Amino acid sequence: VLIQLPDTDTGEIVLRAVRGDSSAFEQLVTRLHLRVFRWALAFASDPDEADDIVQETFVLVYRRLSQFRADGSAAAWIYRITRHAGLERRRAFGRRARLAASPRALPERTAYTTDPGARVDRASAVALIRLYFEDLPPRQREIFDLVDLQGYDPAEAAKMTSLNPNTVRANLFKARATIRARMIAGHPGLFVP
Amino acid sequence: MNCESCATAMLMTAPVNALHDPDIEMHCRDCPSCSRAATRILTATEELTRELDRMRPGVDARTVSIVARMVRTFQGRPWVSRAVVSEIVLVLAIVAVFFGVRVFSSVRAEVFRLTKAPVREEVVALSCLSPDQAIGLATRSLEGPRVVASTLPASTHSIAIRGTDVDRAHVVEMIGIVDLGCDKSRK
Repeated sequence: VLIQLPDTDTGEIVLRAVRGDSSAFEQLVTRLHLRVFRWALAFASDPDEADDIVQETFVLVYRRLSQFRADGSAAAWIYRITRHAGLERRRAFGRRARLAASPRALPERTAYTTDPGARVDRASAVALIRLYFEDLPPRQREIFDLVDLQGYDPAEAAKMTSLNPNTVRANLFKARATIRARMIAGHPGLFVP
Repeated sequence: MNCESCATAMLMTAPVNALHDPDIEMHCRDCPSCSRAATRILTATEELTRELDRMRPGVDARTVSIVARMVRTFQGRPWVSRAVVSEIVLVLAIVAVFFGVRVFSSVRAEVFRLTKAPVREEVVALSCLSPDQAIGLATRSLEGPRVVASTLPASTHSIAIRGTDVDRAHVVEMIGIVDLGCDKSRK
């Protein structure tokens, strides 16, 4: 998981911003910037678009500060705003995701391995999973990203996305099955006579 | 567990369980094909996670914060943006008027100097320059026909200069500089 922050602290910062503390909003942005960017990647076609979604998210957060409910999760509230900004943008531009094609997605270093065959296989597996991930329907992609890549619990993902927990699980299983079946397409266990 | 049930389990379980689920693990010990598939799933998922986590925003948090507040302020209160724009226009207008007045004043002064300043005649006494030399000097010392220099019938040691106070002062100064440089003892 990229960043795990105590949500209670985030809630307190949001409440301070609601009360008119001018430094609180900046503190909130500094604190959540990376996390919101990571969330935005699930809806973006490239990191630049994710930057735009982040900007739109914080504009909306600032505008909706008064709507924040103190008894709710601040992170989940901000995630929903990010999701709204991402989906709105996708609706507006209708572009397909090509996240991995971006230079910003290039790995910083390659893990050392003494087995060239394994390295090639590993590299091709990574390229394939990227491709399959990007080809997923938007909702499956979002759920797969939240649960399998970012490490959120499916119940938590349901709360964040305001989806029914069963819907989250169904989308997760579909996404896993789609990606993995394609990854191990030649596997003998998948052979259907 | 056979290969088929192992593959089904691998398709449905969380990534970490694709390799560490006891049933899958046991089957994979004896089945290189399933073992390879499970490893492939796990490492690819982990690598994709790392790649996405490594990406960083191209805009810093402070800029995001400032822009969000500005956009919100301007969107929520259109009069604020109008006021800001009006203020900028007002400042530009003041600057334009200020420089306009300055330019106009200097042009006006120059025009007045050239056209409206009173023209007087002055007699300049010469020490060693001849009247012709002095007249030549006077006419060359200013651009254009701004002074009129002429000889005086009754005197060979002075000339008359006609022009505005400023122009005459300039010419007299020039003649004075050259005239003082003459060696009177040679005359």
